[in-house]
Amino acid sequence: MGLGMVSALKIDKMHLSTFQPSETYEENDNILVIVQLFGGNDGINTITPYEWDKYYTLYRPNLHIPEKAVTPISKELGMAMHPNLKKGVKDGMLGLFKGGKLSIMSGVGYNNPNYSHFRSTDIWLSGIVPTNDASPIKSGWMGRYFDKYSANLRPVDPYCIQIGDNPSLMFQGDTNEKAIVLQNADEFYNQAKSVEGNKVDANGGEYFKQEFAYINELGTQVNSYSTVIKKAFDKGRNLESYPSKPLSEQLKLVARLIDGGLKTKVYFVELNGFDTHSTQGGLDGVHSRLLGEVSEAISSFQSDIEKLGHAKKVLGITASEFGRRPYENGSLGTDHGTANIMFGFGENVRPEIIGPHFAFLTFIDHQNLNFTTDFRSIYFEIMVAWFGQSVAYAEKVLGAKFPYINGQGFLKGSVPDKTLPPPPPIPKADPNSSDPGNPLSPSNLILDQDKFIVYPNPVVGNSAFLNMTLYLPAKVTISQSTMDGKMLGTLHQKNYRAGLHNVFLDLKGGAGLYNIVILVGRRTHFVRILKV
Amino acid sequence: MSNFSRRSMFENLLGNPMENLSTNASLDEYTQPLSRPQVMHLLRRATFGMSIATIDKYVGKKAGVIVDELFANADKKLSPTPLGFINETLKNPATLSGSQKTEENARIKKHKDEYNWTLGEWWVTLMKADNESVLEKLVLFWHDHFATQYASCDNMPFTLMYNQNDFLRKNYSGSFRTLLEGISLDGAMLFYLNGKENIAESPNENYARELMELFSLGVGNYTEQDVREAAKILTGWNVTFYSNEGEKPYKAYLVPDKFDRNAKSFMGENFTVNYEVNTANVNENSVKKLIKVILSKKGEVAAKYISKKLYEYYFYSNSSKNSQVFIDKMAANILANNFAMRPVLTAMFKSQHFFEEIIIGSQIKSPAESIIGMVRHLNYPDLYARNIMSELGQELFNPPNVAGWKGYRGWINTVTLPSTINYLKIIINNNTNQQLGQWAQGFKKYDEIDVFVTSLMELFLIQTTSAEKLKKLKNTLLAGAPEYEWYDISKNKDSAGQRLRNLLFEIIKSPDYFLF
Repeated sequence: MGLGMVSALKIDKMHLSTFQPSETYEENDNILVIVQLFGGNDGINTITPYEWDKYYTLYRPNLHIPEKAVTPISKELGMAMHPNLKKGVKDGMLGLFKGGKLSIMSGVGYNNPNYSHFRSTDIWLSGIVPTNDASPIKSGWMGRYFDKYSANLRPVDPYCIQIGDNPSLMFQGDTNEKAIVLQNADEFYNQAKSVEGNKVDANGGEYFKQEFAYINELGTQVNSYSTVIKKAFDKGRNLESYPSKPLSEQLKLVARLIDGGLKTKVYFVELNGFDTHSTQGGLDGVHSRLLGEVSEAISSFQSDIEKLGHAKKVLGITASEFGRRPYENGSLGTDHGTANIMFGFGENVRPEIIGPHFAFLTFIDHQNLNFTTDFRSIYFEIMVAWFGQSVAYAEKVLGAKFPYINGQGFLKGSVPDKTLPPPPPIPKADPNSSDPGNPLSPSNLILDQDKFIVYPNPVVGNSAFLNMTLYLPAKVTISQSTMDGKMLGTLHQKNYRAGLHNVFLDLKGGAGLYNIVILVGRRTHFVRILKV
Repeated sequence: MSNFSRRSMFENLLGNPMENLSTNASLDEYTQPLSRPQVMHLLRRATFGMSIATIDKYVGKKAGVIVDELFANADKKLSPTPLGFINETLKNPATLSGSQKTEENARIKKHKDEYNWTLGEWWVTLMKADNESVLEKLVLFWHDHFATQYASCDNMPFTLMYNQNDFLRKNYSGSFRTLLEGISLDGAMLFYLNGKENIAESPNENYARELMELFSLGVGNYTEQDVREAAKILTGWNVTFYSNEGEKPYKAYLVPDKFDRNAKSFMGENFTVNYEVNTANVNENSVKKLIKVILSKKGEVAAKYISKKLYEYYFYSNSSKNSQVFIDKMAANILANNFAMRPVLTAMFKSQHFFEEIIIGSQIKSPAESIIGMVRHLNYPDLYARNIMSELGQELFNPPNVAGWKGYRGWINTVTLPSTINYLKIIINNNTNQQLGQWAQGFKKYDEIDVFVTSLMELFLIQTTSAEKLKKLKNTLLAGAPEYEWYDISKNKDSAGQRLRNLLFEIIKSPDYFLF
C-alpha cells in the first residue's frame, strides 16, 4: 500500500523511528487547541483575590478590579472572575465554568523562573527548563512528540497547524518541523499555485541534493497541504457567530477546519499584547479588553464546536510565558512575574478550580510568587490522558515524569497515577537585579501608541509602503479616499500582531492628494499622501 | 524482522548520512585554473553581484588571482557616500521650549524611525552595486555576528547604526581583536546591550555575557564568575546622541564616577586600577585588556568559534564532524596571524575544500540573497527591496535578537516559500515588457535561444547545465512558437519582455533558485 493510501496520522508501527514500539500507541482522534497569550498574562487580575484587602490597598491600589464588578466563583478560596470573562456567547468563560466546561489551574510556573519574554516563551513552548540560562533550546514539546514518525514520511494532513506568521518553537522536532503555518486558507491555496512541488531530481553534490530535497519537500508540502486545507475549509462550517477580532477569527478558522474533517491533531492560536508594563488599566484598561477578547473567542469556539458535534474530541488550554508581579509598578502597569493561572476548556475538563489561589502563595524574593505546579504537568497529562500515550513515552518527550496537577489532573479521564513523582518542593530562586530580563530594567518599559507612516511620500506611481507600529493586535483595514472624503476602495485588510509591519500598498487614482484611512479595531487613523 | 534490526535500520535512515562523507578538507590553495561552474560558485558565495560578463572574465583564471582581486576591489569602497543628513545634529528637547521643542521632537522622531529605514535602503543600494567585491557580504556577516537592533520600544537614532556599519565596513577583513575592542565601545552596542546602564554600584551583565557567549567564545566556555567580573571591568561607559550635552554625540565616553575602581580578577588575571581614571586609560587598561585576556587565555576557543561561524556563512550551514577538520585549520590560521582575519578570509575562498563539489550549491538563500539577487538586475526601488527583506524576516539593522538571524533552513518555511515567490513576482512585474525586453537585449548573443536561456540559468540557478531544465525553460520562453522564431521575437522588446517575464516566473519556482 502506498503512503498516500495511509490515512493521516494512522501511520502504523512499521514507520516508528527510534522509539520502542511498546512505548507508543496509535493516535486517537482527540484534538488539542492551544491558545497562547503572549506577553505574560496578569493572572491576578484575571482571577482576582476579591476578598483580600491587600490586593486593593497594597498590591494594586490603582489597578485592581473593583470588588463589586467581579463574579465570585469560590468563596472558600476567595476567587472571583474578571467581569470581562462574562463576555461572549452564553456568558463567556464564566458561562463555561458554570456549565462544567472550564477548568481553572492555579499556581502554574517553573523552577528558577526566567523573566525574559523570549527565554520564558521558549521554555514554555519547549517544555524544557534548562539549568543554565544560556544553553540553547532547540526543540518544542509537540515537535518531539511527533518525532516518533520518521521525518521522511509526510502525513496526508499536517500533524499540527499554527495560525500566524512564523513557525513556533513548539513544533520544532529534533528531526524536523511538525507544523505548518497558516494565515488564510484561500490565500495559502492561491499562493501555493505558483510553487513548484513536483518531485524533481537534482544533480550535484550531496549537500546540494540534501538541501534541494528540503526545499522541494517544502514546496510539495505547500502544494498538498494547501489543497487539503482548502478542501477542509470549503467543506467545514461555523454554526456560531464570532466577533471580528484576531483571536476569534483564528479560532473560527480552527473550528471550520476541524468540522471540514482535517485530521490535524494540534492547533496553535495566539493573542499578543499581554505585556502590560504601562497603562494596563483597571476595568476599562488594556488588560481587561484583552480578557474580553479571550472570553469572546473561547466561548464562541466552544459553542461552535458543540453545535458542530465535535465537542467530545476537542480540548483547549491557554498558556502564557509568565504571570505578572503582585505589586503594580509606577507606570500604571505590572512587571514580569512568575506563577500564573492556566485555563482548560471543553467537555472533558474537570470544571473546578485546581490549586490554591496563587495570589496567596509565598514570595520567592519579596516580589515574585512561588509556583505549586510545574507547567509540564499539564503537558504530561495531555500526552497520557488525552492523546493516550504511555507514561514512558511522555517521559521521553519531556525528559522526566511530572505529577498531575493536585494529584488528580485537570481532565475528567485522568486516573491518579501513584507511580508519578510528588510535586516539586517550592524552591528558592536567585533574583538577579542586573539581568536585562529584570522588569525594572528601563528597556522593559513600553508606552507606544500605534504609529503610521507612508513612504515614500510623495508617492511616485502606485506603489508605497505603510510602516505601521501596532501596540495591540488588531484587525487592520486600509482604504484610500480623496480629500473630500470620497472612498476609492479598500487597499488591504488583515489581522496583525502587535509590532512593526511594512504593508505594501497598491494605490488607486491619478496624481493628487489623498487620505489613507486606517481602521485599527474601532479606531480610525488618517495619513495624507501626495501622488505625483 | 527483529526489533533490533528494525531500529538500527531507522537509526541509519534518521542519522546524518553526511557524517560519513569524506572530503579533503584542505585549506591549501586550489591551484588549477577555475572552470565556469567553479567561477560561478565563487562569485555566488563571495559576492552579491554576479553578471555574465564577470563570469566570462574570470573563467580560466586561478582562484588566487580572482580572490585577491575581489578583496582589492573591496578595499577601494570602504568609504561610501553617507546619507545626506548624517551631519544633522539633535538637541535634547528638554533644554528647549515652545515651537523649538516641538520641532526638535519631530526631528528626533525622524531620526529614530524613518531614517533607520532609509539607512536600510542605503545599504541595499550598496549591496546591489557591489560588483566583483567581497565587501558587502562580509559587512553583513559582521552585522549578523555582532547583532544589534535599532528597533525597540524606543528606537535608536539612525546615526548609531550607521556608525556601527561604518566601523564594521572599515574593519571588514581586519583584526578580530580590533573588532571586539571596537564593538565593546560602539555607541549602538552600548545602547542595545545596556552597556550604558552598566555602572559601578549596579553592574549590568548583559553585554559582558553576550561578549563571551555570542561574540567571542560560545556558550559553555566561560563561567558565571567570568561574566560578573567582565561586567565590572566594563562599567562606566556612556554615549549620548544630543549635541548640546557637552559630550561628542554618538561616541562612547567614560563617566569616571560610574567606573568600578575596585580590583577585579578575570580568568585569573588581575585588573587593578592603579592609573588615573580617564577615557584613554580605562579603554587601554580595562576594555582592551579584557579582550586581550579573552583572546590569550581562550585564544583557540575564540579562533574556532569565529571560524565555525564563517564556515556556516560561506561554506555550509549544517556543519558536521568532517567540517570541523577544516574549521580547525581556519582557526590555526587565525591564531598564527594573531587574529588578523584577512589571511584566513582569503585562504578559505582559495582553498581546495571551497571548490569541492560537495560544497557547491548547498547554501539556502537568505532574503538578502534572493531579493538582492533579483533587484540588482531589474527596476525596483531600493527602499521597497529593503521592506520586502524585512517582511521575509531579514530587516537590515534589526536582526531578531542578539544571536542574529537563525539562518539556514530558518529562512524558508511553508509561509516564506510562497511569499518569497510572490514578492519576486511583484519585483518582476514592476518592470514593463519594454524594460524586460531591454534587459534581455543586454545579454551577449541574446538572439540565440540556447545561449540566452543558459545565461539566465547561470544567473539564478545551481543546475546550469541540465539539458532537461534548459528544454523546459526554452519551452516557457517560446510559448508555443517554433525555436527558430526566437531570433525575430528577441528583436522586439515587447514580445521578448512578455516571454521573459513568464520565464522568470518559472525560474523563481525552481527549488534551486533558493540555493546558492
